[in-house]
Amino acid sequence: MEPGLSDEILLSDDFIRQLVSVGEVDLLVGIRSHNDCRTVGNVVRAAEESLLRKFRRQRTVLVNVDAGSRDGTPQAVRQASLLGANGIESLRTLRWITTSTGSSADGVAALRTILAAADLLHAKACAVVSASGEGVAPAWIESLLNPVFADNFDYVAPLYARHRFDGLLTRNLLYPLGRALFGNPMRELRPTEFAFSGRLASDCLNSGEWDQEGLQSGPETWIAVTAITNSYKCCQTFLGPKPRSTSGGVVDVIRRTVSGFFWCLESTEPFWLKGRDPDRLATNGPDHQLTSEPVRVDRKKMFQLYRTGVAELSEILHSILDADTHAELVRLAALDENTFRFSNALWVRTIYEFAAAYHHSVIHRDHLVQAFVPIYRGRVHSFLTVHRSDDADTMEADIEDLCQEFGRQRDFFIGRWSTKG
Amino acid sequence: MTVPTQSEWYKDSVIYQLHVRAFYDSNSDGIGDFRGMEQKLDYLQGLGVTALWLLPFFPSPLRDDGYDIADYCSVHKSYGTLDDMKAFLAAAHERGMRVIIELVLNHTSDQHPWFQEARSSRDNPRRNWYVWSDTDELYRDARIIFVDTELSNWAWDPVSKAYYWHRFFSHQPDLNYDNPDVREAMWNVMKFWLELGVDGFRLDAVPYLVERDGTSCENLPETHEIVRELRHRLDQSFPGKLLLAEANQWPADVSAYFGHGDGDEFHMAFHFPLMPRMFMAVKLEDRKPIIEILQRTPEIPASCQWCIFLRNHDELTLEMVTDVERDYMYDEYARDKSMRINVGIRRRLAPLMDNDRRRIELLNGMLMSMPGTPVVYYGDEIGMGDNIYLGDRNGVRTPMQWDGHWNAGFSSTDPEQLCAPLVSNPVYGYQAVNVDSQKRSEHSLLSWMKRLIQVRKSSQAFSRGTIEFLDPPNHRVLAFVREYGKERVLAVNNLSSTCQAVELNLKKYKGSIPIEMSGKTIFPRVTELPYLLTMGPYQFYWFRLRRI
Repeated sequence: MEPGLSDEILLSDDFIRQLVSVGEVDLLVGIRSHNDCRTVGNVVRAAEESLLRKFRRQRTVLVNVDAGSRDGTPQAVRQASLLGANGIESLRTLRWITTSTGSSADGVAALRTILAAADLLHAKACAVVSASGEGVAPAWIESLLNPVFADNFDYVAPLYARHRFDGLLTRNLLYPLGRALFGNPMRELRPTEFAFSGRLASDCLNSGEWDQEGLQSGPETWIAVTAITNSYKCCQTFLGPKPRSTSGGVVDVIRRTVSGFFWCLESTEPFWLKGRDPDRLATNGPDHQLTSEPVRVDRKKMFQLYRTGVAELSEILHSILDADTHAELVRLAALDENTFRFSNALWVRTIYEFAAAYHHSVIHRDHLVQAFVPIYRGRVHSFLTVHRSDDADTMEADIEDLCQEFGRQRDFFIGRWSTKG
Repeated sequence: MTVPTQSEWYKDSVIYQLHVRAFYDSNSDGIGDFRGMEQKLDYLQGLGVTALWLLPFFPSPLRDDGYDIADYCSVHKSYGTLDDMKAFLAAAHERGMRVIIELVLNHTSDQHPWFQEARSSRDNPRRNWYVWSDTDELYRDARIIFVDTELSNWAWDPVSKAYYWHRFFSHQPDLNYDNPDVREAMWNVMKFWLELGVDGFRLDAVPYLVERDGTSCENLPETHEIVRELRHRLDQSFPGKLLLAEANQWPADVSAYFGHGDGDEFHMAFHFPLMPRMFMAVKLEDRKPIIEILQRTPEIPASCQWCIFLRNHDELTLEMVTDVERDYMYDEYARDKSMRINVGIRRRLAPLMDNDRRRIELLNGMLMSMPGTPVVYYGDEIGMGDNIYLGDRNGVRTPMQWDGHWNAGFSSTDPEQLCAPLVSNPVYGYQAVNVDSQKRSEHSLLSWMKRLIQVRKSSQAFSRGTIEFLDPPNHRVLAFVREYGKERVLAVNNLSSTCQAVELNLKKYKGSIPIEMSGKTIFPRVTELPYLLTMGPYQFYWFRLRRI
């Protein structure tokens, strides 16, 4: 697609007018919001404080792209902004751009708008934060922007201190799978906070992929994978504790994450099919940190949902999985909850078979990803049970074993991916 | 032509600051002089300036470039005679130019007969003309101004075995203004020059006249009282003459020097904090520093006026900026440590702007359009360079570059005999930058400056008008309207190195036709809609807003 045409459609006249007024910048912080009235104030103040204190000399702009909030989020942004700069000496005018993408809450239009702003303003470094991020602190913005601005990295992924039972989809799927296929040990492949260079922003914006359905599920993942697979200079940076997500919609998150990632595998096939030696990834701060305050998890329900899912979706699973794999899942579903264990080997094989089936579109892709949800629940149940009393290091050792397992079965996956049937 | 007699003439002036020593040498001794300066008055008249401010020309050991005065009522023999000065004064007046001279009130040279007498014995009648102490403990809250050279404001006098007070160099003892005899003596100095015909005084180092323990010894009420007394005597005996304050202070403190009511202290005072912020705004490409400082500038009495400048004989002072701003200015404008002195940057305008003609023009454009009487420092009208390897601030006081020949046309003596070495590098040297060659080109900086000054003088909105800042969303653009009587001028400045589009809210001037003042080009009529202008890098426009 001709990039200019895409921009014309995406950006409103008012947004363009604001861009014209701001002009070239060194740093851009994009804040995506959608009904985040409660939390956006903290994010705005953190961003302003960071820019005013740590990037005094740079030309900066904050861009709030709101996805049609109905709870007064844009007003909260304005109010917080007025308070944010209080008492902080600044050399320059702190610039703000606010716009709305209408009612699209999927984040794609918002992210694309931020990329467009970065491209048109020639921003050298851009950070994206979520307005729902309760833990966003001024230091986060600095930690995200600095590697790009000062050290010429093109992409900065976040690292968080997470609860040991949080981020399980990332730790059980995205991280080990990405590491096995891309050779890159990036921990957060579907980040809510990240940073990128103007060069990467421009290339992503001008990509012809924006209309692809798979990208709609996970634009953040797509940017991360684009950076990894196109030899951009990547790093990860420790931000701090990430509060547990209390938002609902687990099924939707799983669906989007898996769908988005499988689609990325397709679009980057030439890169990873060749086989990659493991890369070293520059990391600022600790590369993982787990906390272990007590939390309540309804494991029993998870197991029931797994058992029900495997039974009800038997026909679909049969079309996706090898007979042996399917049989093993069925066998596990018949076990008593206390003896139920979903091994690393089975988990890896199942994922690989799902990914290959997605690639070959053996059934409608939406249905395929929906069928993955109970399987994931089963894995999580097992993971939580096994690690119920384990410390962070033991859990991390298990994740490392899982990564190795993904690597061991890589050839199997490539075979399945390359041959339909 | 004679000097116009309108009141408040200083408001409409364009001042040219020059150094007798560095301007033109008429007798081939390598040092500029009054006769030489007189010969160059036609050049200054052609430039369009209307007042000349002379740096100190009095007898002096010249350890502080003449600010260490040894005799207030005479002329340094290197610069000529008192008669030469009188002839110069008359010639300037004939060309419609006023002459402002320096009056260093605060201190004398330690070679001044007053100090020689004062130190000769503790009983000498002049002893109390200076500030003495047996200890160096008094006035400890007073800051040291020349931090690069002085460790204390007290200096030990081995002759009379006591400490004497000095706010500047130790060879410049402060006069004691608590002594009525000192005040009377300084009035007599002023009277002497006023009777000769000078039009005003730039009073040096005003805030430091009086000392009181437990204070900063700056801006004390007693200091204001002394100024008021001088002003009163001036108005009584020499109406229409000017007092201009050098007080490197924040606007709120300086504005006190305008006095009460209609202004009973200084007619004008330098706006020191604005100057570095103009440079900062251009480097930041953001109008914020300028707007902020002008918004923090208090109203002044109607008869008074700010005096504004880009560069002068001193360093680009960074005393009136915050630490953050100072660090920024040093990093951006004086990375080389030899460019720094005291709390400032010893550089001329052109080198500060990397010899970028567009930026030099923009800064001059702002200087000529912002509220205040502008001062042009000699040589900056042709983009002269500096020599940071000369000591103190001498690097910005090198001889004027008149032509590309022997000694830049400044003097016919041997180059080795010149009062200061000429700037001779290929970029700023006199072969490349000189009056003669620039006179020959319509597009030279000199020719451009002539036109700029001419346009500035064409509207009293610039010299006397109110200012209202516009607030376009594009912060790289500084836009304001100056208004005086029925005259309205819109100034729009692009502070950025790139092209900019700006939408101005000119609803208030709906129906007006903007006429660009340099080319007299008509622009589309102002409507209710935002007025869109596109501007080239560092471009500025002045529009006369006419309702036709």
